Amino acid sequence: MASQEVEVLQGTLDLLVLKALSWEPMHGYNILDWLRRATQNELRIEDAALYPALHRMEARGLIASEWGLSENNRRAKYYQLTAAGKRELRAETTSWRRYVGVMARVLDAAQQPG
Amino acid sequence: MSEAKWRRYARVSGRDLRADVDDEMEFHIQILAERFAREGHSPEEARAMAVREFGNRQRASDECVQIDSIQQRRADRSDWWQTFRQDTKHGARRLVMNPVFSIVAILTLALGIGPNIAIFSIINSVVLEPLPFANADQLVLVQETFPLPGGGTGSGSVAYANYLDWKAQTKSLDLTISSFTGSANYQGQGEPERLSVAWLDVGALGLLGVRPIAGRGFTEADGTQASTPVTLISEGFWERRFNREPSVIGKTILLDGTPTTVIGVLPSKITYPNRTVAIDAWQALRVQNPTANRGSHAFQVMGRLRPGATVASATADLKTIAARLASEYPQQQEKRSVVMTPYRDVVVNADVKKQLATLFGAAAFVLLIACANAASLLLARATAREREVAVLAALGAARWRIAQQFLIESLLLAATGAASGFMLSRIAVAAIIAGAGTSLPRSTQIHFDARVVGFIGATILVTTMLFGLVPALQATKTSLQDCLRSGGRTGSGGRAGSLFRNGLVVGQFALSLVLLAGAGLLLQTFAALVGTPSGMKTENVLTMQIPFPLGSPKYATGLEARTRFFDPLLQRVRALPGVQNAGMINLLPLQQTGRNGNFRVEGKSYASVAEQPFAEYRVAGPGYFETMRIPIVAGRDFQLIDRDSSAQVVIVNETLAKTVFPHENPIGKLVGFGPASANNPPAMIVGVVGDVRESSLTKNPAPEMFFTFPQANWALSNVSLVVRTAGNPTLLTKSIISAIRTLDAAQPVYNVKTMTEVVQGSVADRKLYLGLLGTFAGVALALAIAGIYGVMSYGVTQRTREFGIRLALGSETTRVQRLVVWQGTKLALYGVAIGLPAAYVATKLLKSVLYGVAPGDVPTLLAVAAVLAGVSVVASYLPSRRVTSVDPIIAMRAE
Repeated sequence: MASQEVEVLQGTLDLLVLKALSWEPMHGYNILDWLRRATQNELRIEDAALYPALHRMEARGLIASEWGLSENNRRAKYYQLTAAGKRELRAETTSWRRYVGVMARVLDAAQQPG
Repeated sequence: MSEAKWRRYARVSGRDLRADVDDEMEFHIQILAERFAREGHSPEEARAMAVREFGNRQRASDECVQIDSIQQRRADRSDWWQTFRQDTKHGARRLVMNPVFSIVAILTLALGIGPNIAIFSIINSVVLEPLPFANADQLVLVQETFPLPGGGTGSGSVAYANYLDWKAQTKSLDLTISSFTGSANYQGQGEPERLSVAWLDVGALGLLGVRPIAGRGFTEADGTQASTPVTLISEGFWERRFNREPSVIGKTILLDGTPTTVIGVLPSKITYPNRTVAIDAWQALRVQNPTANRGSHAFQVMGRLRPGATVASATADLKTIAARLASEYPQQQEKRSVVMTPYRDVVVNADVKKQLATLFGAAAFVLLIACANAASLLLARATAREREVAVLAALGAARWRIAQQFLIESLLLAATGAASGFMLSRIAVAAIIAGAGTSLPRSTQIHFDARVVGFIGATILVTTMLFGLVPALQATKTSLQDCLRSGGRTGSGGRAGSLFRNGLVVGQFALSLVLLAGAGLLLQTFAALVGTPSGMKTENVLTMQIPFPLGSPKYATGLEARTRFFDPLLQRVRALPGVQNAGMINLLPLQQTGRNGNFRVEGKSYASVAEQPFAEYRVAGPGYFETMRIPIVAGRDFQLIDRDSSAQVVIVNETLAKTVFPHENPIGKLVGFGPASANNPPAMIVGVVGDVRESSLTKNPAPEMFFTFPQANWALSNVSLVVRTAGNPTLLTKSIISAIRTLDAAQPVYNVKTMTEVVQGSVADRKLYLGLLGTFAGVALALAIAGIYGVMSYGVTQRTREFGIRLALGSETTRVQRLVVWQGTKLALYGVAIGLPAAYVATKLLKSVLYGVAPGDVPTLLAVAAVLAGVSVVASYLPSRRVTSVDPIIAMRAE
């Protein structure tokens, strides 16, 4: 299974986290769990690597954090999207779609453009 | 809870970033471990698997802490800024709500800060601003030294031939030469104008590193005799007469009637070779027979030290060359050598620096006095705010937070005070520039720049600390208990507070005494100067310069100039109603000095030129001595006939008669100039006139010799008309100028002044100094009076209850009142006691500007001390009168 995983592209992790948090506030474990399910384990993300990304996004004001209680009543740090984060998610989604479209067109091209 | 507040709370609760990150990751690992445990692993195994699954925890956690701490610092800064803005807003509101307090405090600070900004602006432009030359620290002024007639060594301008020899032989520095500032008539379109003109060696601009802002500089060819004369004009002249029109370059203008081509424009900050006067035009220096005359020392030589050379090594080098020249040409060069001064020290000499430093010190005193008043005001106000502070403290505000609020109010006061002080300083600087004239070097360059802004900023901060810190600490010391226990009556108004306030009064009086003593000494200097007999009667005399272009196409010879211009002019002027007499002189007393030299008395022999007697030379027309009321002591005045006869005649002053002819009658003696020859006949002394203080009121008259027009043709290029009138001389200005213009419409007239103004102008530097120091001292005195008055009134209010008790116990009102007055006076006397020795020492700084009075003059110091003591009695008496209105019953019932 491990051999089929795809390395997460630089910069796309942020977008994935934003998407994850667009559903509800989550702590780090939840986010990873959601990502793994959403990608059907096709993306390889190191658990530890998620945290610097979260802290960096918080410093940029895209997400905000608050200590809360987890499902089993333990202290956990929950992240949620800020207004700026929501805007970022919309903008990044659009530009990602365009990027993927262009890449696909180029790679699927049947003949040399004349 | 808002984000910022939560963060502040978090910080106080001591939670650190590393612990937060650890907790966060630990939670994650625990969930993983639980999952593995559920899959059937032992707790230890599950834990180990979770840790492995999580990945590089150390690196991730380090990264998170780093990101968080950067973010934290940014947040702290914005928190601080937010607090600062809030405090500023509240502070401003409180100041607006107490307009009387605020206005008094701001005005006080403005009076203290304004003088500092003004003096710093001047120091900035005169001393700190680099000279407008490339690598100006390499530039030196090179002068020749010569033995003075009375012993000692003088230094002065350079002979062209010597310059050429130095330049050819030295390896230490590059040299250039220029001629002293001269002047030329210019008419162009409009009023004729007298321009100041300088003549520069064609290499001078290159050596100085000065580039024209338009057109070109001089080329080698411009310096040759055959080329067409070319002129560089100043930015000021370009603007004034040509409206900055670039097309003027290449045009021909007439200077003294001679055509010359304008080739370029030099920036306005260049006044070289002068250091004070703006130059309007520069021409290429052309010297006929450059090696011929080693005896005429008429040039200014500037050098640029080559790499590796110092002033000392270059001086030694040139001295060796000068010694060689002295043995080669003993006749002219005997005992002559060389001296070199860094040009910066020539432009702004040590005296100017010292005077500016003294004024800066005086301004700082004024600021200290103002700060003392402001601090006193704040302390008094702090008493009224005790409750506010107590409440804030009770609500848990830290002392430093409350103190910070007080300090921010002080900062607002200082900043507003500085803004008002800046306005004051603009007025002061304009007045200083106007009053300084040529006594302040680079005064035309005084400007406002980033350094002044920086200074103002620094002054605001320093001032805030000076007057705000102690009151802020004092005010916040009050504890809630104290406040409650004393029923809000004492607190900062207590013993420590009043000691501090009393100390401020003592300090203010000490500082004021020093300033007043300085002003007092200068006032006496000024009185002594004005009272010094100048040797002439200066009232009701009008003077004006009517420079005369000799050799211009209009008047080819001196005789022509005399018959066609000067004689008719004097006739017309003398005939004007209200005119009593008129005469002419080349150099007005107390305004200009000029030629001097050695002369021979016929029948005596001299081993060298240096042994011959020495005199200042002036050229006067008939009627001059009478117009100026300079007595003719022996012999006769010049007469019309003298000017036509071929026999030269001279008149000498009493000092020359006494020193050169101690036991003889000088009348009829013959004197000669330069080597005797048939072409150079001696002149006969025909008269002796009273001594006049020609160069300065403070200097004793020097031996002086007068020639007459047109025997001394050289003097015609610069002539002043002097007119004695029956009444106010300025009323005749118009008719005299129109008389001149009737004779020659193109004749410029400038420097129209009464002789009284000329005398005043000669003491302008001291007048300015007195004006500034006097103003500072006046402000200081006013502030000190306000200070003692404030402290005493405050004291009386605070002690109303005590006075009530005293009165109730049978004290007489006058007795209580006397007590108050004595307490105020005592403070002032302490200040005076400290100030007297300080003033005795500090006034020594004024030594070089004082005249007729010594620094530390005891009567002056005592007089100033008496003034201050008297003032303190009055300032304490006024608040003490309030005692009389105290009703014992009401006073004792008060709080």
